[in-house]
Amino acid sequence: MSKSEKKIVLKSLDNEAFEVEKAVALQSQTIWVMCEDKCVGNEIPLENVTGQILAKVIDYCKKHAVVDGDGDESSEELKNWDTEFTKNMDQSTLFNMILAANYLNIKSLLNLTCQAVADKTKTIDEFHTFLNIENNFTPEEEAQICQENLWAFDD
Amino acid sequence: MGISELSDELLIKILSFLPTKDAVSTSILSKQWEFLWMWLPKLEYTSRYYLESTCERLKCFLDRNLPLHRAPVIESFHLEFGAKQFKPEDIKLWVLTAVSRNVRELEISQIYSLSLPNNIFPSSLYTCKTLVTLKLNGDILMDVPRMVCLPCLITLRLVRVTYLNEDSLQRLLSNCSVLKDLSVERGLFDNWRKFIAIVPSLKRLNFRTAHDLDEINMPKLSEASLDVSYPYIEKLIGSITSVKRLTLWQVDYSSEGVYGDSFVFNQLVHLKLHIRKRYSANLLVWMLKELPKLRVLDLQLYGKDVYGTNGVVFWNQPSTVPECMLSSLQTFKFSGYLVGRPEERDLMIWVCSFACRRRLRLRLASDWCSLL
Repeated sequence: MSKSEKKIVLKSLDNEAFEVEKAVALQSQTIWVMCEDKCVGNEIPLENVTGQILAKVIDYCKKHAVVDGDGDESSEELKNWDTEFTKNMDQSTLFNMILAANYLNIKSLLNLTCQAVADKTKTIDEFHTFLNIENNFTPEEEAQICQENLWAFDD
Repeated sequence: MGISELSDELLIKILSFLPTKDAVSTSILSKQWEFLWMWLPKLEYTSRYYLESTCERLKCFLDRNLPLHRAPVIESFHLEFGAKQFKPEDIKLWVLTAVSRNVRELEISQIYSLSLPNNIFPSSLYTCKTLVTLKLNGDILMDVPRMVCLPCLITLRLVRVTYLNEDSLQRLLSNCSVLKDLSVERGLFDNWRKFIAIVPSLKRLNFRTAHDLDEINMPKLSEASLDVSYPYIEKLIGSITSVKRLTLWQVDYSSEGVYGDSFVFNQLVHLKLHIRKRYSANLLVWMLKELPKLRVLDLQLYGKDVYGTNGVVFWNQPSTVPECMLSSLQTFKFSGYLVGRPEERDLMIWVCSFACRRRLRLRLASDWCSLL
């Protein structure tokens, strides 16, 4: 395999190009399928992901391609890296990462980002604020739901 | 960007990382969220610390909602409860519903029970075609019917479970054709005299017993963990000599004879020893002698017991060096607490001299480091 075949170019929605090792990019099932399809050349257009998000996704894939999970130190280190990776992401970045992970079909990244949202929303109030959800129930409707699922609202 | 751009499928994915109770409480967020939790693939209910009134609420909740649950496949159903919190027939009904929803993993634990074990399983559980993992713990009575067949069961864990009769577990095991992972911890009064496990497909075994008649026959076993004291260990150790990874939980002075000359494990790569009582350091040397492929030796010590009689009690610098120490061994791990005998230091110095010469990886807990 020549050197150029080992690398592919990923192009974002806003036309930003990223040259990455094939092994890094192939963690995405979507890209894997595209590469299998011979019609696609060395450049893969990703129409649903912006350059800013794609750069983060590539960071994640690079980290997870290097460490192959040998021994417990490396898996521990990887876990810490994952925690740091999502720790300071704001709401909008996290949602875009979830969408990107889903579109690119990277299962571990989807789990990681969904877990990160769950970690930031421990109470109903946090859900309302962090996820920006407007309550469209009448007080009567709300009371009825609480009554029907009493166990879940019991502290 | 708002969360409204995420599909219901992705919102359910986020919910699945919350405890089930918190996920259900999102039903009052908004109309979009009201029924989302009903698609949760994993359901976990822990009532062990509940007051009676909360248990009653959980029972009402499950009776009402479980039959209406919308997920076509229940990935896992986990229930942990205390004595007398629920009637056996209630639990039977919930398990029945989980089975009818193609449950893949079922975990039921009863804790703090002083009552007689109850049969809480519908017979359909024993013919569930989707069940991959079954974990049971506590005073649960297993009445395995004649028509038992769990064609997808890979992992089975039975901790202090009671069996209706001698045949129950045997029948269950011989009808799980792809079982790979078996964990059995025997209770004192579990209604069987003798555990004879013949499971050709088994790869990993975790076994704890204090019964003297048990036998195992698992030709494909590659990993074993035995929490068995002397003399019961004597009968079992010979039937697992083909394993690659072995953990022994009760290594001590009394069982020296068992691990002496007859201890030949040609395939063993990873050995972990838990040492709780007195032991002889010579024992370690004997063990290592017949382990030509050993790469990792992991020693866990538990420090002083109440009588102060444990720890390494005997050490003669061996005249020959075990073969694996000169060839295959790569890592020594020492953890736990020391007793403070001079023999411990002698053993350590001996190990270190090899570690330096052969560039072994030496991983020491702080107690051990202080010896050097």
